[in-house]
Amino acid sequence: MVPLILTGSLAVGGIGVAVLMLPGGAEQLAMLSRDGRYESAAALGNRIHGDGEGDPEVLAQLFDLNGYTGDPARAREAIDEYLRQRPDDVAMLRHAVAFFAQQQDFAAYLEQLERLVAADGRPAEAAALAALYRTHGRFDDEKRVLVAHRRSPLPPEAAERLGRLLARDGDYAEAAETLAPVSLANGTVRPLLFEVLMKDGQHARAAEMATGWSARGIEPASHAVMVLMLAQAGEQDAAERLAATFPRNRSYDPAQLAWALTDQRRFDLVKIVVRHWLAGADRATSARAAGIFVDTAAQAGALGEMIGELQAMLTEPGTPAAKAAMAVVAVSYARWGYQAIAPLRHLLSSELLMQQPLFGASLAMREGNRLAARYFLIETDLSDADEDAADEWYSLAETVFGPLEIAADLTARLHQERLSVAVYPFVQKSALAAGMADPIFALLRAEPEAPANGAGL
Amino acid sequence: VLLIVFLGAAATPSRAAPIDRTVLALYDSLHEETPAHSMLHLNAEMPLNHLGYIVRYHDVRQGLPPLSELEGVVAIATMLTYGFEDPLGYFRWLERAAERVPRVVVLGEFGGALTPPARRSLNKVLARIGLVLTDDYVTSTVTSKVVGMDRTLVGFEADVDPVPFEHPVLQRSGTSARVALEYETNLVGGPVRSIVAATGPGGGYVASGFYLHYSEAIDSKRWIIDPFEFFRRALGIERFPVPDTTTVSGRRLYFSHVDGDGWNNLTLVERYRDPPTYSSEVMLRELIEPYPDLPVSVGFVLSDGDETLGGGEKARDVARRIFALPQVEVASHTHTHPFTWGFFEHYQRAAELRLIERQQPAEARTVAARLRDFVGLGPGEKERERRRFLAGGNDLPRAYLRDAFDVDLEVGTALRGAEELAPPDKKIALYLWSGDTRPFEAAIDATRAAGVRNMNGGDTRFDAQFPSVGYVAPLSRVAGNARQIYSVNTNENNYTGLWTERFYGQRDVIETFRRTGEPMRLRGMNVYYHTYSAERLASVNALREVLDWVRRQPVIPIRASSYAAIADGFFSSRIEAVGALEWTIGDRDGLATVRFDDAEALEADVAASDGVIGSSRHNGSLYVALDQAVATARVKLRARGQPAAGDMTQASLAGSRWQVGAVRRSSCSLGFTASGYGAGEFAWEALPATAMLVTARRGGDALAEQRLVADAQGHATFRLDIDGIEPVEIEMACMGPSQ
Repeated sequence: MVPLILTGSLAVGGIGVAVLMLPGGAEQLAMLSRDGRYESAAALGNRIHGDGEGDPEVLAQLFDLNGYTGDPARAREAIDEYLRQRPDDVAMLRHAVAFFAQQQDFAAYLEQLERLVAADGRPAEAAALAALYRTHGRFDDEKRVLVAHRRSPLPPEAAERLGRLLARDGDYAEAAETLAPVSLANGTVRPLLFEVLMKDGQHARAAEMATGWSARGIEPASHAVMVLMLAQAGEQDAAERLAATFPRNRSYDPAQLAWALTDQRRFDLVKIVVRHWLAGADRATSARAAGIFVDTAAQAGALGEMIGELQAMLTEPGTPAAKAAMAVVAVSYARWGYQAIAPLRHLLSSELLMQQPLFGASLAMREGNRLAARYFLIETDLSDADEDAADEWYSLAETVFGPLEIAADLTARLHQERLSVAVYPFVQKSALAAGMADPIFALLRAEPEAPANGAGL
Repeated sequence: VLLIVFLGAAATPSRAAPIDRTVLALYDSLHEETPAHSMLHLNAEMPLNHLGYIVRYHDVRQGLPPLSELEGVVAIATMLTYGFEDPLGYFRWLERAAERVPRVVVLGEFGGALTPPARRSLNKVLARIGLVLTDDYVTSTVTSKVVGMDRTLVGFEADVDPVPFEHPVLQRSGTSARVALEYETNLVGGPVRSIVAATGPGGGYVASGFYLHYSEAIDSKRWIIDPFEFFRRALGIERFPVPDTTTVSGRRLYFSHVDGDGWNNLTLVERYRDPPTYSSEVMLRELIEPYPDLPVSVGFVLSDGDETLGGGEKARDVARRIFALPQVEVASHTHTHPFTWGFFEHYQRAAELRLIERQQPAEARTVAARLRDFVGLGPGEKERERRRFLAGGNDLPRAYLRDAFDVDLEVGTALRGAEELAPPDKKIALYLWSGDTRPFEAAIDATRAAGVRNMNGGDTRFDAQFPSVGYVAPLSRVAGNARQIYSVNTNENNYTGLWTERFYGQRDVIETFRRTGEPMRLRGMNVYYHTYSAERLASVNALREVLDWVRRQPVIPIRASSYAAIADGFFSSRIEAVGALEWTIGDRDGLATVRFDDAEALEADVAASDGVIGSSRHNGSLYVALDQAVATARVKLRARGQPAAGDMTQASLAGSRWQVGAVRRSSCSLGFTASGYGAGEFAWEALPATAMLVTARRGGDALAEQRLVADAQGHATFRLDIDGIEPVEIEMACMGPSQ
């Protein structure tokens, strides 16, 4: 009897184990899929699902299988049911978003993306949701999503967008906090950040940031707006500091800043820009800066103010200010003649005129002082003369020197490499007038060690 | 009615006046490599095509166009996101050009820094639009608010953003500008008004960021302005017959074509796995044979039938059986399947061989591989040599690399090779571009020289994922002086993540069909797929779903080459106004229809026209079907609702599933030729209220006969359940008063 019971028990146990070891729905689907029999797997899965199987593992497989074999309606049923059971399954929500994005059902896609972002969406997913709202004109929803994720932190483009939306709605403090981190890497948002700081009353912070940006270089137009906003807000000192802060390199053109300030009739700030620009500038830069100063003064109707400024600067010969002023005086004389500098004439000592010897020569001729004119012409450095300067120098020289003197002087300078190319035509012209051989041609034929001690004037 | 007659009379040209349709588009190849890469091509050319215009591109890097070449140009258009190298030179040229060309259209940047001299030149151009460019610029838009918005132009697909872009300040000059969007902004100097979108007598302008919204985060674009309405206004379009590429014999056209890629791939569809079956065979059985009423043009890759490289006789046999089906048009999908056509424009075999070497799998040189070869389990030298010249993907410039590339082989030989697989009476008519579908000029020329049409590229999609008409491609692409016709819709590759996922994706093409059909009929329907779609059950089912859907639509199925001929005809057609509401249309090539928009109050005057078969209406537009038997058609419109003639002399085709031509009308009979796929369905209007006998014959043999009575409005429809692939002569004759 015992063996019979034992055998029976073993048989029942064996059957039980066998039943337990029968693969479940999920296992069967996995096995068929492993064999590449996806269609069979999908058919089986759909059948057992129809029979009431609601195991999430099976549903997950059914979602994949029906998608793979081309039955998106069943795939949708499967994932909907799965998410009803496990609404916070972020990984599956992500699958659902990808799935619904391509089902021509925008509302469902949006709903799934909202659920994902609300559950545990990545910042990029929140940004995508916001972008989707923006594209479809739902700007309030866009802002809501961005605001909800502003501490995530949002990707820079999304943060910038939020900053702009907040600024647009007058929430300047929040806008500034949102834009400040973005501005570290993205220069284009700096003008906006400055503006919202100003509107929020954070003038000192705005000025400090702007001064830092402008030292490294910002768009002159934006620079001007910042200077003007500070000035309009009564922050004159900060405005002047900012106006005098810009890099000295080719990437930044202070003339644009000066003109932008002139357009707003702020010659007081233009003066600061030009003074800073002139300080320590080389001769070509000085000439350009002086020209801008004169032109902006004329445009602003501030020539009297300019003269007053120059008078102050010229009172201390030998200083950089006086040197800068002389560049402006020379340009004024070239633009409008003697009348323009008459009020300053008494301040223009020989020492100062030596800062601008060509101007000195011209002025001396105007006043009939040929000797002084000769002196200033001899002292004029032609090594970087442009075409206008070369032409002016030669015209003046023709009135105070003989042809031989001019030719000898220019030939000597040529051999000493003290002439710019712009003067070369006049070297040839003077030699021709003096009946000499063409020194340029001679130089080209000569050995490199051509005489450097030719006679000077 | 009186107003229309009056307007028509007022507009009566004293003699034939050609309708100019050329828009000159300027771009810089430094920033936009070719015309096909340009913003204008990708966004604006389609609306311009829809309105009947042909875009001619000019690369300013080759110099500005001589003014003498502006003859016949109706507008100069730019859509720049950058500045030209010599902006001032360009602005001065534009100033002079604007004296010869009626319109200038600027979308986006003007083309360079807006310096005072630039503004002086531009303002002479802008004054014609009624605008003036000031020296101000809205650098901050925090305080900007909309002070004027024309909702008929703005907010088309995307609303105006509450945070506008920075923009130059344009203001009104006079009163001629029709302002669509205007802002007021508190700038440092005070409030300033600025116009960012406007049209006027001399063209149109929309500032950067205000015509199209593009989101990088979701890689999606949508028009802010209505491009159709914008160009309609900016070009000051007067009514003319627009060459139409969507409609034939009054119905929306349908065609299908197949690129032969994957011909020899073994299908994964379970019921075809034992024995292993080529995808081409599955395509034949599942997608072509069951649809004799839907034509399909099948492009065979000649090397797929190569004995050593491809599937050999087995592949050719499938091709023969496919080409033998009456609904199949024979096409070529190249010889060696180039992936990157540009590589072959200045082809160097040595460079290609170097690429082949670089792509050889490292596996061939491993010890294990050598051992396998040693014991005879490796692929062997012959097989290895064969594989060497087969590209696994598009990382090599073409799929079959054994022989040096040659345009004549790639086009001429491929065409002849495919044709040889077809029944003797079937001529090849179409060449389908492969790979990147950017053929160079000589390749396109070779197809033209071979006397076949060419097509592919464009990749139109317009659905929830591509939610803009901006994704609807223009009709064609130019390479040098050659023109490539784009296919009408994209294929399954772009619905399946480049054939990596979601293999049922092509079912979504139905959404594109819907959106390109309503409210404007922008495109016909094109089911375009590759043979590899038959690899998987999901893609087979998707295509069957699409084809079944198409069967239920009131379309006219035509061959793909017929569509290409229609599109070619769009460009070749020469239109002249010859009278009040009367035009001639010549050099039509395959063009079968002209369209008139906003034509609810008009109808075709069939009796006073020549070569007009009939007309149909779709959302306010009138589609006039032209008779291919008449070389130069004359289309005359008249006020709608004129009394019927009471006989058959004004009988007008309202729609047909078959292509109708050679129409002959007399007081008591109407004869025409028709051919097409599936049952013949015909709808005629302006018929007499008498009983009619409809007879269909071919070569004197009567195929069908039926009695027909028009309704009180003169409408009658009938159906012929006969094979119409070969032309059928149809006669409708009066039988006497209806009972």
